[in-house]
Amino acid sequence: MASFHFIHAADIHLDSPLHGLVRYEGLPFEEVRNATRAAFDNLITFACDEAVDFMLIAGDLFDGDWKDMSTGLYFARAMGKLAAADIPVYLLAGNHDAASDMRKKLPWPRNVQQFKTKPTTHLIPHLHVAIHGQSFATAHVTDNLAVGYPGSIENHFNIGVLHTALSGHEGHATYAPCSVDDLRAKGYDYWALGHVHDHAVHAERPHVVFPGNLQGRHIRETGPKGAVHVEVEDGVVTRLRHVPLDTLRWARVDIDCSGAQTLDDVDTAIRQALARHHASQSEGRPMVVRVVLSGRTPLAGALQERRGRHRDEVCALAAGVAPDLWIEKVQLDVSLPAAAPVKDGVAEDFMAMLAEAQGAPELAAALAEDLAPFLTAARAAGDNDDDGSLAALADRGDWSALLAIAGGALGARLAGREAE
Amino acid sequence: MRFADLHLERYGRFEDCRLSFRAGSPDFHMIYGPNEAGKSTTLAAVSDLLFGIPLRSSYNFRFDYTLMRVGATLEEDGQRLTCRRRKTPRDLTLVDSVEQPIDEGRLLPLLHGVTRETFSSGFSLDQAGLRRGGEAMVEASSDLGQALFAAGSGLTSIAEVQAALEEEADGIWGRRAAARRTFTMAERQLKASLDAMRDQQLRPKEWSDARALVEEREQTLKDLREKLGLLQAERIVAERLRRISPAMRLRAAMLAALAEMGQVVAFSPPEERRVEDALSDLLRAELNRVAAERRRNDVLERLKPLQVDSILALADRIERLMEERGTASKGGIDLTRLEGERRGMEERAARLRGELALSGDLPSSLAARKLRDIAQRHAAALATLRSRTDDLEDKRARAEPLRAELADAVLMEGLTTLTAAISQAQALGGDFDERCAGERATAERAEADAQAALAALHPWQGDAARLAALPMVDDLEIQAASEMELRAAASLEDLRAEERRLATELEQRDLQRTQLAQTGQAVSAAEVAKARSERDAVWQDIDIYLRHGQPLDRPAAVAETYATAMDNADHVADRRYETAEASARLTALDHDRELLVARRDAARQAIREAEAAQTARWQSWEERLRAQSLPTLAPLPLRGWFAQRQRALDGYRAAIDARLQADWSRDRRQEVMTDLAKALNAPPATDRLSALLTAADRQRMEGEALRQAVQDKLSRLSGLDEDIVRLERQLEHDRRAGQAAAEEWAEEQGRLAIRLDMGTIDGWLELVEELRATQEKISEHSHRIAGITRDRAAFQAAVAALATEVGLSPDGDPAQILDALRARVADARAVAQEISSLTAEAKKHQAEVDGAILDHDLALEGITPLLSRAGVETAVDLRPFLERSKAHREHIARQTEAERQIVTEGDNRPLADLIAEWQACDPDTVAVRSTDLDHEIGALTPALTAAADALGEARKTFDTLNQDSHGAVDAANDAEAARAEMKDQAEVFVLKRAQSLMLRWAMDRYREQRQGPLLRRASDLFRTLTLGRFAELKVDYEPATPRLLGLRADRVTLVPIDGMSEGTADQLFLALRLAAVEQSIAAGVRLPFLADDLFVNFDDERAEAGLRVLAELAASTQVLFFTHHAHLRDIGRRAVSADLLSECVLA
Repeated sequence: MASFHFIHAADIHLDSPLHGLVRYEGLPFEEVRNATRAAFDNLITFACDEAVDFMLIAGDLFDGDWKDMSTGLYFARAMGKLAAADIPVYLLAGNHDAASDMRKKLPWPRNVQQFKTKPTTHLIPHLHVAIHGQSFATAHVTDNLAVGYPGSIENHFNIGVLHTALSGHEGHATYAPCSVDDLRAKGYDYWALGHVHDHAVHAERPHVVFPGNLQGRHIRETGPKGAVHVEVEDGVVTRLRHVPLDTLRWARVDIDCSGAQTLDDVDTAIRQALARHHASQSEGRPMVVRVVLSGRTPLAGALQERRGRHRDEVCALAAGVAPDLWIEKVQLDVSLPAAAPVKDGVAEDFMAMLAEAQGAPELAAALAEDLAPFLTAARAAGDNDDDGSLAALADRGDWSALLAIAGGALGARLAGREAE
Repeated sequence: MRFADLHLERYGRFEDCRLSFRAGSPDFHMIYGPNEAGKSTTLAAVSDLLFGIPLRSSYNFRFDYTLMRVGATLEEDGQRLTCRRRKTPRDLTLVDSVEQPIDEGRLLPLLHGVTRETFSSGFSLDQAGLRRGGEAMVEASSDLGQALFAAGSGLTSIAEVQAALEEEADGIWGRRAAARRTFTMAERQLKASLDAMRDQQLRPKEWSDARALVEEREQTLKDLREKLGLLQAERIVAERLRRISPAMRLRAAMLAALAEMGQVVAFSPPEERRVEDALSDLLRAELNRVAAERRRNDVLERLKPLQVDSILALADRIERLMEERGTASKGGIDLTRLEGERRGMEERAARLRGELALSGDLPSSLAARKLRDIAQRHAAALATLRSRTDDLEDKRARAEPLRAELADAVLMEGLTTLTAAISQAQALGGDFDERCAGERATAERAEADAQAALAALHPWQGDAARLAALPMVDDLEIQAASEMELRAAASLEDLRAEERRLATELEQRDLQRTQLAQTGQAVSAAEVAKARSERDAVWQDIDIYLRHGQPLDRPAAVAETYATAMDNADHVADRRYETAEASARLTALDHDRELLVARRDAARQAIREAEAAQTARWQSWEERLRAQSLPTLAPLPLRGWFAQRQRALDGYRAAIDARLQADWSRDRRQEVMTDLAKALNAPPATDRLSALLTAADRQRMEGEALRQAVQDKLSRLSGLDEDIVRLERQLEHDRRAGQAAAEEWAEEQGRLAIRLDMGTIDGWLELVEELRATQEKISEHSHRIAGITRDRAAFQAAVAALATEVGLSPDGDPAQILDALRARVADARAVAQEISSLTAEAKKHQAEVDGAILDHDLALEGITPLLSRAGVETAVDLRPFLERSKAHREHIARQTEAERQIVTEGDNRPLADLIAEWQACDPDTVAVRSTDLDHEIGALTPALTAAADALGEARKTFDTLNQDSHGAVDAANDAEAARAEMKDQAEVFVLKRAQSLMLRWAMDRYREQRQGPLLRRASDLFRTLTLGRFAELKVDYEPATPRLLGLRADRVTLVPIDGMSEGTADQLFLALRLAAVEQSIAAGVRLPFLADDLFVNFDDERAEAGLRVLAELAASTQVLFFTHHAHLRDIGRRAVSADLLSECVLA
């Protein structure tokens, strides 16, 4: 059998916008806008530079609801570059692609082979490679497609291309469910999967591999993103490596504030954590970070109180750490420690009353009524993807939690403890 | 606190006025006093008594400040304080009855932290003060007012925070959209981005439609182009035939003309040109030859008469003599001048010689120079000699007085010793006196410090040597002992605490047990056992009686007792059974108690042991210290003592060092001062080194100045002596040089045989030189005169010889002869010139004749072959043949041209094909078809253009769509950014709103709960004071500053304060004030309430109500009610039962 190498990518979601990034002074927004295209360009360049023998794309080229043909044309042109480099591409439609009208209308170059919506096999005779796959006919495929795949072809290196969540994966809809055993049963040599956005090797011999998506697009897609480069010698996978191709990296930095005495301590901890993460995880790429402050601390109120301007301050800290380090959000998961004994005095008396307010049903009702029109307006911004957000608490009607946070912030403000 | 009595000893108008206030409830006292009786003075006196008489008081009009006194007896909780206040410049103003100062601290607790200001605004009021205070309250400008309205003085900024929160939230979002709001901005940005995304998206259908349109239009254009191609091909053929028609016709005409000409002698064009050229050459050569022959013959005719003169052979000699003639005539003139000059010079020479009186030859130039040299040397020697003699005299005159002065000079003695003493003193420094004094003081101080440090080592006593000899206890040992001590103390303290805790717990158990037992329900096991043992004790006697027959004392009583005991035991057991649970608890309590007692005893034992161990350790430690003569101190103080000891020892050593240093300085100073005094001639009377040093230094400077002056003079004298010796030596030398020059002069004169004075030699030598120059000029003139005479004779001889040669007379003026000869030579030369030029001309014309003949022959030779081809003899006969040949050739050329044109116009197709095509068609039909085709093609062109345009447009549209565009992507990203911003802002907004609402809720609640009591009480009082006309007080929070309103009895009408009558307003203020006073009293601030005619504006009914209210207040604090209204006394008696009312009069 011949020796060859190929690249396995999936979940390109070309031109899918990046979520959650507020446009602020200094943020290189052009880079942000162009991130998925740039990562895709990296994929094409890598394939050409390495002169791979073929490329597999296991579904989700575009976002299903994305209707801009320019995106498709960009994709098709890139395929044209691969054609010029004599690299065939085997393309499988995933749940997003099934819904995409654009994909059907694109002028595909001749090097692009697509899988039909029934099990299809493409052969590469000179390499003795057989590639089996089945595109999604609709966006919601809940059948086990793997069982219907053809049997392996003798004297060939058999590759199965499949868009699936396997037996389920957090944050991903369970499409085309199947088990690793189902896949093993087919007797293939390599399963090129797509759909799950994190890189994972679920089995070896045969390899069952998710390459993850090409470019992280929000805070739930952290860490290196890219494709998988596979080298095969005499019908055996000899080397498999994940190639990071992303141009902008997402990270979540958790900071426990329970030991902090002052807001300066918190800032110092943030700065140190940012520096540590940037050094260890950016790999020279621009990095977007969500800073999550947690822990029980008397500073919780003050931190909540400066919520509105804290991101700017953390952005300034980040700019001090590295010029290409950006802040997506500062998430506050802090809480106040148990209340200290209340002293006598008017101010303390009033503070006690604030504490009482947190459990007052009539206040909760008034707040619900007060916020209702705003919450309606705020829904235009989309779902609250972050459970800890105050708007989410309000949406859920968790008034006591919201009032506890507001009370802490208010206490800090009244006591003049907010950072002046 | 209350006043038992008030004594206005000397204050304002009062002198020894006493007011007594009996104790009792209500503690209400009416004090009557008419106007001017001093009610206000009394109020002021009370304030001054409690808080001191101010720096400036207006109540000193009768008694001077020093005499002013006000006293009282104050009571509180059974304590009494009798005191008096006086005014002194110092602090001690509170005194007892015998003017002994009393500690202010005894009065202060009675005041409960109230200041003069709060007392006079809250407890001591007249009607104006009541109003002022009331207004301040309702305007919320006082603490009380803020308590009334704003819920607490510590939180007065809450309303500001509330406003700020509202504003911050409003900056984010509001029900009415405004561009300034950040959330709204983001919202708009989102909408704009979504719109942009929609607008800039390229829909797949739009793109595929555009592509289909391009393809369709390409097909249309292709069809049209094919049709046009066919038409154009046809039109090309028709056009071609039309184009070649004229050429075809010309070709046919040429072919016909050639056939008509038949056979022709053909000349080539070069041949034709050659014949033409030869004919014209022949004609021109003949004309030239004739003209040249005529010109040659004319010249030969003019040459014949001309002949050449022979004189031309002598022309050169004649010219040479003409040149010499000028020289000869100038020589004659020069000769005359030169001879005159030579005579004059010869006369001058003779005269000079006479003046010089020279007998022989002139002396040579060398000799003359030597003479002049000797004379100059002699003169220089004489001059030097004179000037040196003057100089020598001058020096000798200056040396003499110096020598005399030096002989008398005197130097100071002992200067060296003095200088040495001074430098020793200076080495000690200018401030040595002060340093000595300073060191002495330092030493004394250090000794005193050392002594003090030794004393501080109490209880140890002894001197430094003993101290130094004391052994040290190792610090580690002290540390260990100290830690052991601390640990033991801590553990002891723990044990004691444990013991205390156990004791407390035990007490609690006992208490619980007692309570449980007292309920009568719980029965302990002990009680049961006790009851049973009582029963058994009685039974014992009965048992003995029954068993052993031992008689019983009073058997009935025993039986009774036994029955009672049994009943009791049963009852107790039954009760225990019935109250099993309580009993069990009691048992458990007992059990617990026992355990606690055991633990407490154990703890006590442990304490005792620990204390014993501590004592033992302490004794052993003390013994250890005592054995080493160390003070018996605990480890930590001992460590301190050791440090102190080290300091004492250090101080002691420092004191010794300082003392040594001070002594050394003192001795050294003394030594130096002795040396100085010894070296000084007259030492001043001083004990200061610096003064002595100054005097010595002055003396040293004087001595050194004297020595310096003598040295200067000595060096000047020795310089002068050296100069004198040198000058004398030079004088001798000059004298010898003058003498040598005189001798040389005499010798030279002898050699030249002259006698001359050395002084006049210069004039003599000048004359000698002039004579020598004159003689040389004479000799030069003689030589030139001889030359001129010789040249003149030679010239004349040459002219005579020439004249003879040409046959002229040699006699006569040579100049004239020469002129005649020269004229003849000129004529001869002119003739010879003419002959030569004519001969040349004749030769030239002959050559022209020969050339013309040659040309003619050559031209004829060139056309000879053509003559023979045409068969004619002469050149002229060739002409007709030439013309026929030319015509024939032209026809052929035109035919060829027509054919070329046919091919060119015929699209370069083969000529034969074209001729065939042309011959096959009908030229007229072709023209018509061509026109038709033009029309057809013309009609097709706009359709083609339109189709191409449409295609271009479609392509352009498609290309535009196809371009790499990311507008929609950018807009989508912008929309996401806007969403993120909205979420961000939403977080802040929700927080701010929650805070704001929470704050408002808390403020409302706080007002309701905390400010309520004050307002409620004031409402009640106000209702009472207004006899129910007003139901209560309300606070209106709507305006920027809250305001107080009275609610009428109808519970509908709200009356603001400025809408109330004066009396009602006063009643409102009194109600507020009394409510506040009650609050103070409740807080423990119990001070007398002094009211001075507060009911001025009250009617009788309301005054009575007011008095009732005050009497009510008097139940909790003393009320002193001052009034000048007699009728109030009656009202007072009605309001407060007469026997309870205390009255007094201010006299």
